[in-house]
Amino acid sequence: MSSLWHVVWAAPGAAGFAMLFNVRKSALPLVALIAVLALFIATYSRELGLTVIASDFLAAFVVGAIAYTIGPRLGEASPVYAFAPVIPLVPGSKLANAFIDSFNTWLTHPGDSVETVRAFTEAATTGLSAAATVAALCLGAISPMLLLPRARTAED
Amino acid sequence: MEPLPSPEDEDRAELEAILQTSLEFGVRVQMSGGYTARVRDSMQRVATNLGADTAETWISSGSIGLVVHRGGWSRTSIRTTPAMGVNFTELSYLSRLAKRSAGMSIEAMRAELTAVAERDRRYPVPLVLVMLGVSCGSFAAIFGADPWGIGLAMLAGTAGAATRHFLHKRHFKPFIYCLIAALVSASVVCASASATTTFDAAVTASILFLIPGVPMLNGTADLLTSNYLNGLVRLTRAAVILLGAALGLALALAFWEQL
Repeated sequence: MSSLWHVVWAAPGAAGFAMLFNVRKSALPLVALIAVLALFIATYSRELGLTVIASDFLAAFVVGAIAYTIGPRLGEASPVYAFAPVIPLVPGSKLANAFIDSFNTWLTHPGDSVETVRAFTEAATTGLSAAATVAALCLGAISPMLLLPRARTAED
Repeated sequence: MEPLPSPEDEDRAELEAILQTSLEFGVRVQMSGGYTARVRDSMQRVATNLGADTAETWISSGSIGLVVHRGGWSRTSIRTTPAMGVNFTELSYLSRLAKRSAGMSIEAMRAELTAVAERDRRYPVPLVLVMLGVSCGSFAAIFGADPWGIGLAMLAGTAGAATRHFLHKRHFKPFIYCLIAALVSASVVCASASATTTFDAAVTASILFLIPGVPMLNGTADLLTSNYLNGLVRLTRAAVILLGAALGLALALAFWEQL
């Protein structure tokens, strides 16, 4: 639990993107709060033993569910509360490492040696893991929209 | 002397006004960052609330088509959408407007749409650029960077975001402006690499202002609501942005011999 203090960094992280998306000033505190909650869920569920993909999906799903519940009630479109808060969960370092390792392999491992294949496989594995995490985040944030279709419209 | 317009002529003119107003509504929803189902439902709701019997839509990434029917007549029109931007304040306003459009006159709806276009309230650009830098610093902190790494990522993110804004305003394509913006951001961190013990976290976080969050999430929403073609267009756009950012990062690392 001692490492959980860092989740508060999700607040400025999400607020910057919310301002880029031109979210209203009055909605920014709630966006920041949801982002902190999302990173807390993702981090804590990882500590409980869930995989990165499962914990990020869970966190994004909670964000989506909150956004599609409170967004229409507060007179905001649900993406206001659904989009910016999940951005701190994007596995940026994993994505960057996958690309950097790929480029590194091209530059430093010419030919078809076993070492080259191994390096490429490692880079591809990191890349696929990062891509799966991003897909889980997107599905998690959007899928609550598909629940209770009669109670909600696409305009919510 | 010209003959007076018949009731049928007036009816058709009103149907044309409903068509153009609803189409304008859809274009604005698309331009402010709505996914395909939202654009479709908004246009149909506005068209029927303004007096059309039924409305059918055709929506692609670059254009929107609408057919409205009333009393055996139909009208069709297609408009191009200039760009898929993001403005969630406007999106929320349009969402509320669509819901209260029942019983609204065409003139009142047109006036509301004109007011929306004129009221384009955005945060000042320098503030947004600095806040994107702050976001990058926050991501560096989440990745475990030390205080110098956080500061560097913040500075580099702001520089990169400013570069992206500058190139975007000059109509460069996403791949180019993302590549150059990432190159600038990563170069700022690489140039001060000795200042931090967590270089990897700082350099990675410095380019994360380029995360294509809205295209990725709207693309997923399109796929989940059976708008597969538009979903693939948005996800491809996101992939191009990510590729440009990764290439810019790799070039910077190679140039500063950090690869």
